[in-house]
Amino acid sequence: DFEGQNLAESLTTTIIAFTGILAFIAGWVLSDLKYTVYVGLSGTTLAFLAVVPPWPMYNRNPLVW
Amino acid sequence: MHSSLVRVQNVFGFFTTVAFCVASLVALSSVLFPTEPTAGTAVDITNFKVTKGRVRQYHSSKPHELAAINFDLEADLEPLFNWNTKQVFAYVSVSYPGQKFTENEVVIWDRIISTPAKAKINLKNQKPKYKLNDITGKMAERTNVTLTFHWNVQPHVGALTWGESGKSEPITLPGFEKKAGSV
Repeated sequence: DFEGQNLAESLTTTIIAFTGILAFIAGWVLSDLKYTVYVGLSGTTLAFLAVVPPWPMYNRNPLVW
Repeated sequence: MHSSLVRVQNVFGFFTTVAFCVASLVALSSVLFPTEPTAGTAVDITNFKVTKGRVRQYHSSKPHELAAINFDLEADLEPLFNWNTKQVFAYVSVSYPGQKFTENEVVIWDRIISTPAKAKINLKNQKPKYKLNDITGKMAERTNVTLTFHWNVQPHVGALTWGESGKSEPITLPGFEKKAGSV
């Protein structure tokens, strides 16, 4: 499940980076900083949910002892 | 990424990094796109009564002469509000030269503006909020006294900015009037 680890890491990086960009754009366009904060925090929550619990997709290539 | 705890740590760590970058971009946007208030601000001194009495100031043993300067103020600070503005602090200060200290400035009125809807200020014959006295104790017959209107933008993220928009004509304070029955 090293492949799973790679997947988890690339998922967090892309989700959170993308959320950061989206949050900035959302706040800029809507001209209010609270949208930036909301979008940012909800994106981060999504990243947590996608990566932290041990979903089975991360265990597709288990190590063979 | 081999255990849940490690994943929590990594996700949170990257989140703080990204949050810091976004915040610094927000602060940078305030610097790159600055705001200026419109030129429609006017400060006028109306009614000035000076040195109506002698009051003991908290740090000195001898009584000080007080000056009371009422003023009109008209200002529109709505252009100062962008997405990064948390509140705007507006204040009126009295500045005058002196012998002991060449420049003196005393804030006599201020207001915190937290939304653009409240950003229009229209005061007529406003009494000052704070006492105006000098450290030497003398306020009577001071010359070249001017009122200035300043504002201070406090952003959510980033550096504070100050500005001044509105200066009144210089006046001369009249002589000392003793309050009836005071020492």
